[in-house]
Amino acid sequence: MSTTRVRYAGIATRALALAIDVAIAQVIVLTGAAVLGLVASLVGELHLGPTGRWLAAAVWALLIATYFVTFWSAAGQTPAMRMMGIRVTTDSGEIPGILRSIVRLIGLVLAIIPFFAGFLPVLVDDRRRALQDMLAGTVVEHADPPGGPFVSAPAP
Amino acid sequence: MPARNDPRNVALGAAVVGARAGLRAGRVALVPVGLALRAPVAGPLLQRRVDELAATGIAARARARAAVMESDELEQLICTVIEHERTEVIVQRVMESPGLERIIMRVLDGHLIDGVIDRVLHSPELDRIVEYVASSPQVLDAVSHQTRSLADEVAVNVRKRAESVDDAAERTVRGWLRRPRPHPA
Repeated sequence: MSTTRVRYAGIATRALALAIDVAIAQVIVLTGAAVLGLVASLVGELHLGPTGRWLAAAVWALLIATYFVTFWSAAGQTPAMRMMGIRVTTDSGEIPGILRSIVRLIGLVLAIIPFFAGFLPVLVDDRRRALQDMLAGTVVEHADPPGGPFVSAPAP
Repeated sequence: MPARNDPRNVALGAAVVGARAGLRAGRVALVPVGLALRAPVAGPLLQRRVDELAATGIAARARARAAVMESDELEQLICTVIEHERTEVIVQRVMESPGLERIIMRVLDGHLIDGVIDRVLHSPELDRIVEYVASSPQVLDAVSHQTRSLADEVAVNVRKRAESVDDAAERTVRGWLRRPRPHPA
């Protein structure tokens, strides 16, 4: 049986990438909101009622979700994951599709809610999978050539 | 007993003395011509003839200068002088001479440099040069490359440190659980 050497990304690398991605997404959302606010201030004063606030929160969540789903399903990497040299793939080594990316995003939210406890399996799982990876059937591996600590895995 | 003179020097001296004598004789011979030029009737005619001769002389000098400047021999001579090893020795000696250093220091201490620098700084040509350099694709490429290199370097260092933390954290937790890591292939 042929084997390939896959280096799965650990908890620190993934946490750092996630933090940078959230920061990038927030900057994008806040920039858009600032532009909208500026335009609205030219027209008149902008007051958000309870419905408007819920709507703004929903748009914020939608944009953040779109950011992750788009990059995961289009390139297998978000900008921060590219910077950290990691990528998300399916168990068979392919880029996850949109549906799988949405499932992974839901898993990510579920992993974050209990104070990031959903990431703890990364420390003990042989393929360093977190809750969202187990739900979506994905793994996060290093995209660069092998050179560090290796974990042997069967070739897809 | 004095040494015998070099015949070439003697011949050269004789030629110089002869030339000087010829010049003096020519000047003496031209005295009547000068008087004739001031004569009321023959003067203008002579003046015209002298002017024609002068124009012919100027044209001849110009032709001679052009012939010299366009000659292959001049080019060869210049190349030979430049490539000659003695030229290099002379230049080296000049560069090392304290006199040249003194001259350069005097030039730098003088007002000439200040004036030149002021003129250069306030010249539109400098603006054009700066604009050209700032918009030069080569310069932009170099700056972009440097920026990319710095970003890449930072990213690589962050990756390495994060991977070290990955391994340390996993090793620690697996140690607590007595669950060893899979061995590398």
